[in-house]
Amino acid sequence: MKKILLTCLLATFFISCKNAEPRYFSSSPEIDVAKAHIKAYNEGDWTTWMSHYADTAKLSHNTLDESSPAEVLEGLKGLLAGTSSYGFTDKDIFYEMVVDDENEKWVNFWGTWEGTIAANNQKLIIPVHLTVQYVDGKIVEEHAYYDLSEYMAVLQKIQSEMEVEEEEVEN
Amino acid sequence: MKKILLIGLAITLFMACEQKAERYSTTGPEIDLVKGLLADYEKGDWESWMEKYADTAKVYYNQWDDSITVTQSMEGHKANIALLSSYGFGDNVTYEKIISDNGNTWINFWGKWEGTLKANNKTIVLPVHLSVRVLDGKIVQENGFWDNSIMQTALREIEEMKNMPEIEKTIMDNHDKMVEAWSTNDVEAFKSLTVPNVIRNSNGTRQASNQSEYAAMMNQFHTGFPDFNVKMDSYFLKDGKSYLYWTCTGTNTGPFMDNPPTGKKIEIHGFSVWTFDSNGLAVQEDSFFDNMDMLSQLGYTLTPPKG
Repeated sequence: MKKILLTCLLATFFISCKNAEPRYFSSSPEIDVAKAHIKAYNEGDWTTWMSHYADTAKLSHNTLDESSPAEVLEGLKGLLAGTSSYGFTDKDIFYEMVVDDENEKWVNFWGTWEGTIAANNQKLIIPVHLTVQYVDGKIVEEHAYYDLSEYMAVLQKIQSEMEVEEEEVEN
Repeated sequence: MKKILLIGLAITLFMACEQKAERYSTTGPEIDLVKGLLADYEKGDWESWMEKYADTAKVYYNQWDDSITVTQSMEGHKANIALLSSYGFGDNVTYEKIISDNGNTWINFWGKWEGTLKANNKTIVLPVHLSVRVLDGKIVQENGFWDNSIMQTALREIEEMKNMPEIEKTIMDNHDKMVEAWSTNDVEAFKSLTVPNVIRNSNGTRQASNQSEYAAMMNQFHTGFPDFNVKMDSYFLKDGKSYLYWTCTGTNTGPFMDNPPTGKKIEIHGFSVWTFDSNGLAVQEDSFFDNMDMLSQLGYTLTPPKG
């Protein structure tokens, strides 16, 4: 009887152990994809970058509106067009994966974007956070949070300088 | 002996399970702490808000390297809030607690911040992420991520409005109302914003020479497309004229230009130059758009001329 009780106890622990499967990871196949994704972004390898998304992926960068990967890519290319160099640095870069209450796999990324504006050689450092849901190794949802105010200020400065130059030429 | 071994095994297993389960959670006192912090922020209860931080807490907003103190952070919040008639996070928020590889407890928060500017009643929506480290029941580090340029653009618009001559303000105001009148087919509103002999040229051809003709033309679109809507994409003012990029949408469920409804949806992009008089009333619109594109979307086809 005692033996049965003990076996039952052990079985319960095993079951609860199964239920308590890890929900936090600092390495996982999905994190590896996320790392490859950042690498592709840094290298401007947009074919590889696009391949990480599911066809129906929904992306929201600094907005609640949803865009397709192709639409976001177009926006990113627009932002990067004015840079002479850009990329995520190795400093202040963190990846983690969690399995949430809905059993969804989310990779959270915190990184530092560094770029140089071609027109005036100004260097920009922008912290970036991404939270990305993966299904079968592909991104199905992506939310990005980053501050573009410094970038916009530089662009505005360049534009007003250009306007002044134009006026001088006209005069 | 066997018994002891078994009990030992059970305890080990139990502990191992516990340890694994604890690294991710969506409830707990640390999450409650951050929930309380946001509630204090929304209420403006800065005393209670302040108590949730350790004295030495470091706050990083859109920054990695240069931290600010909790007092500086509070001053920043207060300065921003002073510009707003309402602000806060809705219910659509997500919290999680994680324990990192080095044993630190972090609360991650994702939410939608909404604020309305006192100056122009404009509502700003910002997705916000906070990552907050909690130690012994107090916040010791806070990292915030959001796009500040959205707010800065809105504030710059207010500043530009302040410096704008009175007539330009009137034109801008009337211009916005005009687009609204177009969308709602509000003839009375339209008449109050235009001179009696307002002109409309469409792709260079005179389409209307007075308010009645203009209203009839507007009505033609609303009869053909009962859900007709005009959206301003962007515009700018210069020397009493507005240069407007617009998008029209609608579903052709009514007769349009003597043709039966097609049931098809249209989305047309166009450009209008509006001229205003010294009272800010519209005297002329020169509108440009691709008529063929609209007809194609409705299913019309072009037949080549006979050779």
